[in-house]
Amino acid sequence: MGNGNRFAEVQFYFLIEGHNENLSAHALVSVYDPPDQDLLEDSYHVLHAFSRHNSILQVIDIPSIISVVSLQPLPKVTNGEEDRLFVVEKSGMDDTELTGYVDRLDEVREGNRSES
Amino acid sequence: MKEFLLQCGSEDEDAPANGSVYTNPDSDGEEIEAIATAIQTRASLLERLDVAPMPLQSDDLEESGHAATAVPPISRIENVAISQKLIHEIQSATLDKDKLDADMLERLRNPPTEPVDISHPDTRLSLDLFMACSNASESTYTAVRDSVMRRFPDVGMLSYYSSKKLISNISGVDSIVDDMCINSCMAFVGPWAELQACPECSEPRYDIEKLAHSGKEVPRQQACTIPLGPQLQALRRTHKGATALLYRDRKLKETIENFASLPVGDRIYDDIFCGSDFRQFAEKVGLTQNDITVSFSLDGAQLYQNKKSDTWIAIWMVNDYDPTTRYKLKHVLPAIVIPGPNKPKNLDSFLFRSFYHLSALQRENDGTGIRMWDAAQEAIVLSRIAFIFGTADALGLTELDGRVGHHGALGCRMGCDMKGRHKPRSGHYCAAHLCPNDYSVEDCKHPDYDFQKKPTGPSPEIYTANLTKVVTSLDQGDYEYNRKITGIGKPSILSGLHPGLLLSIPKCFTVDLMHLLFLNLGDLLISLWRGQLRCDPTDSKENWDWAVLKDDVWTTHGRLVAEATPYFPSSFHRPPRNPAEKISSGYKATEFNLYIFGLGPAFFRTVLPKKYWKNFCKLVHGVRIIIQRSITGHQIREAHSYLTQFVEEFEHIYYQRRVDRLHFCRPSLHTLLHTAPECSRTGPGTYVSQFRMERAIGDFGRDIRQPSNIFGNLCQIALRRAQINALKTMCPELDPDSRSTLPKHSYECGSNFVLLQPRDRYRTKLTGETLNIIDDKFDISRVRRWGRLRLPNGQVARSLFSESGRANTRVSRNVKASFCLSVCPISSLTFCIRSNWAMEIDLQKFSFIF
Repeated sequence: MGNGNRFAEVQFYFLIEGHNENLSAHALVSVYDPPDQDLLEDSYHVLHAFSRHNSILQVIDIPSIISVVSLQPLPKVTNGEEDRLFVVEKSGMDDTELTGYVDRLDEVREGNRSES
Repeated sequence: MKEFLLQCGSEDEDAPANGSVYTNPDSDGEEIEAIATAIQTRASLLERLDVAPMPLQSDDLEESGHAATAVPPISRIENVAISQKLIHEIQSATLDKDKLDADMLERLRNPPTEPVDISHPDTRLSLDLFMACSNASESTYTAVRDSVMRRFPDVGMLSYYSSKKLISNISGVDSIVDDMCINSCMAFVGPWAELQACPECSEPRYDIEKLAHSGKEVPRQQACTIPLGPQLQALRRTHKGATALLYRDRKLKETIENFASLPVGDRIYDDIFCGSDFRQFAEKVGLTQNDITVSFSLDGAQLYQNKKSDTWIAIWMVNDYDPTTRYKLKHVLPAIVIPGPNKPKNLDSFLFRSFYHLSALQRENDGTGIRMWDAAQEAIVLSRIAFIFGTADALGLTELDGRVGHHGALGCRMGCDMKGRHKPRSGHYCAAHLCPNDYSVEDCKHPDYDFQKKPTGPSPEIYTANLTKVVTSLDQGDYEYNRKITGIGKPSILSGLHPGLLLSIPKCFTVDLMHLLFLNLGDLLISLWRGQLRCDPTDSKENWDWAVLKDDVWTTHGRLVAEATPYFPSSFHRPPRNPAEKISSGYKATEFNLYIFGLGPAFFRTVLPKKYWKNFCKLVHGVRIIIQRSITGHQIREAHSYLTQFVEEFEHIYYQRRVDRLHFCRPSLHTLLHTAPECSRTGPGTYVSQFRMERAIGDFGRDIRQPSNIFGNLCQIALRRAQINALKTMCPELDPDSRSTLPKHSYECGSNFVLLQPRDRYRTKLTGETLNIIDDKFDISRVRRWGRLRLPNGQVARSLFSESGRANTRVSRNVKASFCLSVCPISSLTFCIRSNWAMEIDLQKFSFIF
């Protein structure tokens, strides 16, 4: 887990026309809080958990996106705990890049949105 | 004679004469092993075990590293003797004596130098159709051909047979078959070549009726080998193919350069060429860009569930490719198909043909290499074929490396000097590092293992000495005893290869992380926490306060795991099924991985007592590092620190030095101590993991269409795959994948990021907070929204925009992103600094290692 990496939910992606008609690519994301410090230390940095309700909308540049992660609801030890999410990352062991597996690109059109 | 003398020099050129490396963390530590010390320790152990001295022939470094070159006499033990005979034949292999037909031999020695011409429209049409039908049946091909010919009678389309013949001719790839026992005991090769019946089960080799009627010798079953030479020659026939093979040379040079200038901790290990063994091997051999390095992988496959169909398949991997290419199916070369129905009793006899051929290739032209047409250099080059790693699943590996189970006194798979301990009146050694209290077994009372010490890696010298001991056993009883204390059952078939072109035995074997971490450890932890380990009469499950996964807790826990599925993005492959229901029905390695090392820290937190949970988290920390594709020297050290702490603590809190709990100390725990050092020796374990091999191998099995003759069909599929792979390399225009495959309406936004549909047809008016943020930043109130983004690592990140309104979707819209410091809140900055500091303190303990 590199420094300054955070987890976020993507709302949508968009392109912005800059100078000379260059397009720059961005994403609108809700960024979650940094991980709970106590849990992190208790677990030797293997449990990254944060509140599921505190997040801040923000625009980021697309190249800053590193990977797709799984955010799971954190099981509670006591009922009083707030709702939190924790992170499961994909390991290098069955990494997509090496095995030639890629998500399908030709996903069928969805709902009533259509491409032009 | 009791003295145990090993005169071999240190394998590492730059290793110091004594064990002083431990005090010098800045030196090239990962390559330095206090090998002399290790050998002495091991020697004294063996001495105590009453192993007779066995001086090595240490003519020179190269020779001493290879078991077979020491040429021990043929063993009195039958199965050892058979392996030795096969190995001797392999050692003196030549292409002339190889079972190649005249055309193939001629072509191997005088490779065609002209480009492949498939420009004739009829030829091209036939080839295209043949390849399009590669997953269909012959009748599909014929039906399509007939339709085309009906409409265009002038087209000279080739028949299925002629197309097949053409592809065989163009590619130069063909198969060799060997007769084998109908019960798949053995193949009729080497010392068995002339036999008429199986020496194991006495089943006749030939069809008796046909033999009686017509006198024809019709074999009842055959195994199929696809020789490596022609497949390798095909790789260089095009400019593109020849250039792709240059990766290894480039990467190795870069690595050597980087490693020379970087402190050990900052080195990046991101391929097998970063491993110290490969680097040393390349230097010793003087590996050039014309040479090719291969690895071999063997796997048993159940082709049909609930059916007896034990088929064994082996493949070659060409290491010289970039890793993003290396593991893809079309670059994996089929090697052997061994039909079932049973597990072979002598697997060596089936592997014989492949290694005989490789050995012959290695020895061709006095060991200077085989001739290949290199389209990039536009010249015939001499290419040596070096063997690097042999991998196999648990069953296959003991056949390939000739070792036996883990339960001997020196049971470590990596051959280190860790000596096990057994219970009174039991010959079964357990991998307990700590000495039990109130222990009566004199032989095993050695002091606690020194966890601070670097575990010694595989050593050819020790291996050779031990192997000789096994080979020279006087009788069966002596053999069984020697096998037990050395962990070696027979010489590895690989020892027949050219000693200069083989990463020596046992260095060419490594830990298979997939089995170790996901299957063995997964099984141990879950059995432990479910209270399912054996409980000795003197122990009581009442005292097992870690055994919490029982009854309702286990059921609820299992359901929780199953309910995690929708939160796993689709790129995570198979999410874990409910372990309470499915853990004993073929729970997959990937499932164990996501369950234990992914969900584990959060899911076990609520059920395990805290000290066991914290101990488990140390394991997860270490494991998550060593299964990465790219690992720094610092991280290797960090992983080793955590894994060592985990193992030591595990023994303290579970086994508690109790004799009646010695069986908790399974060999997999000890092997964990080797995983981090193995990273620096062989590169990250993920590049040699059986995981990738099994995927490739499983794919052959899936291609099977005709259950009536599964095995014959499988041979045909493997051959066709080999030929088509070769053809695609030689004529890239035939490979549809080599053209860009971006779908319509996508947008490449640089650095390998691609925006994918769905997208808005028109710009959409933004509202609310979204509007504020985007308007603030870009002065814009309408945007055209895109739904998905493909990342450079191949994953596709979706978004709320593309996922909302979709049912049954696995959430794939959460990402990890790097935030520049300006948006990084102060609190998380302090966290980074604090955690780094804490880590340094922890690691100093182990700074001698790397």
